[in-house]
Amino acid sequence: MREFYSGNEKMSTLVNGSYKIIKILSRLGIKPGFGESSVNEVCFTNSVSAKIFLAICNIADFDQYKPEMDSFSKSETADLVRYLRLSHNEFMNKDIPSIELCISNITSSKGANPKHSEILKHFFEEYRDELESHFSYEDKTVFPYVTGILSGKREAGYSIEKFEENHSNIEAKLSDLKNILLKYLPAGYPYEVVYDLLSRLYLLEEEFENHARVEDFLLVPLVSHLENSLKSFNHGS
Amino acid sequence: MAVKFRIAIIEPSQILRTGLEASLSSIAGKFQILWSFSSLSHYTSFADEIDPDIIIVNPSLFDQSGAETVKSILSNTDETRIIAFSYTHTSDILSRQFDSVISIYDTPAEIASKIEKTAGSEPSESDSRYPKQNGHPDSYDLSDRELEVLVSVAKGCTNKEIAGIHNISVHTVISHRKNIVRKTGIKSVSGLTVYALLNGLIDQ
Repeated sequence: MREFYSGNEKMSTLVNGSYKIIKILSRLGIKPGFGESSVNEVCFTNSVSAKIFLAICNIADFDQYKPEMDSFSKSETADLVRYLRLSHNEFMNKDIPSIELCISNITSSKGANPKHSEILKHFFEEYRDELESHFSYEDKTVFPYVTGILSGKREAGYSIEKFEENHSNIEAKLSDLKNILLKYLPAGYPYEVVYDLLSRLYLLEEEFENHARVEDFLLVPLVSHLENSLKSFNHGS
Repeated sequence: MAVKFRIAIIEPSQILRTGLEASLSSIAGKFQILWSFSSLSHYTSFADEIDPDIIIVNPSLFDQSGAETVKSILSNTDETRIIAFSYTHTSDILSRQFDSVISIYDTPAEIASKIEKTAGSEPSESDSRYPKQNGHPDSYDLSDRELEVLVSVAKGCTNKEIAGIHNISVHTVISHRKNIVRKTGIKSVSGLTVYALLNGLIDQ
């Protein structure tokens, strides 16, 4: 089995081994042209915490990876929140609209049955609204709470545990749509667009799974660690 | 903490059942024997309430001709692995339907390693994107009863209402719904509604 990614590896080797890392680089605003630089060097040049970058990559590619909570600073946790916000933004303003465009190409194609088109569009609109409220809860409630903790203020009546308990699955309907298109779409639709849409759905599903893992296995333990240290600090003073 | 595999055992002999439970429990921390049943009917009466990762079952409880598939009888989810616990001869056609076979002559360590290997492997025929290698390729089509239940689900009926409409038990409704999800790969009610509309089972 391969070892977890480390900061001394070359950035180019890392990306060659796993294309998922491209999305992570892009979201963090890390610019290409790595040459022979190591992960640590590239992150330093781009003012991104290498520790957070590596933790996100390791979570994406290794099921057994467990980050060490003690080793993250507050500014690194803030970097993670920034990454998660950027991910939400990318999902809602880039990925979902491009999927919507595919769907509208399919439903407005010559062979389309207007009744079926209406059904598909309605299904996806409903799903988009669900996503919207899922992400906006995190953007407006969870992340501000974390930012508060980082500045030493803990909002009463909320804890990261609550978020963890209610963290809902957002991939289920995406997978349903995949199966509907793959197995049950009637003949007569432009197949190139359908396949293009399917690839996007598979990639986005993978991204959503990863995103949830970063939240559950990095953000939640980091914040609950901070909550505990805040508690003991308050007791001590 | 390591993930524990949740195991259900279906074995008519009490001696063997207790022996298997004791052997697996002696391997600390890996397995949880959560359910034990003495017969298939005993198991099926609980099937909707439990979700084991692994079912260890005596193959002699099934028809040796393999006419009814093991998976359809156990009606579990695609993720569940089914392991045969065998001490008599099992026909090839039947043993192929299991994800793995353990024998009463295996040591506890051998059994543990087989279970772990099976749990980490792909299910033998779960992927509905590919035609099945054996058995009947049309068995993924919904039965008439399943279609009726699907239509009611798509119309927004609750399990209790569906049971009333079709004069069947809630338990049966749940079992039909499980099969519908397994066959179509569609989990959400709104997804199933799209399926029903696309196939002209309901209009709007």
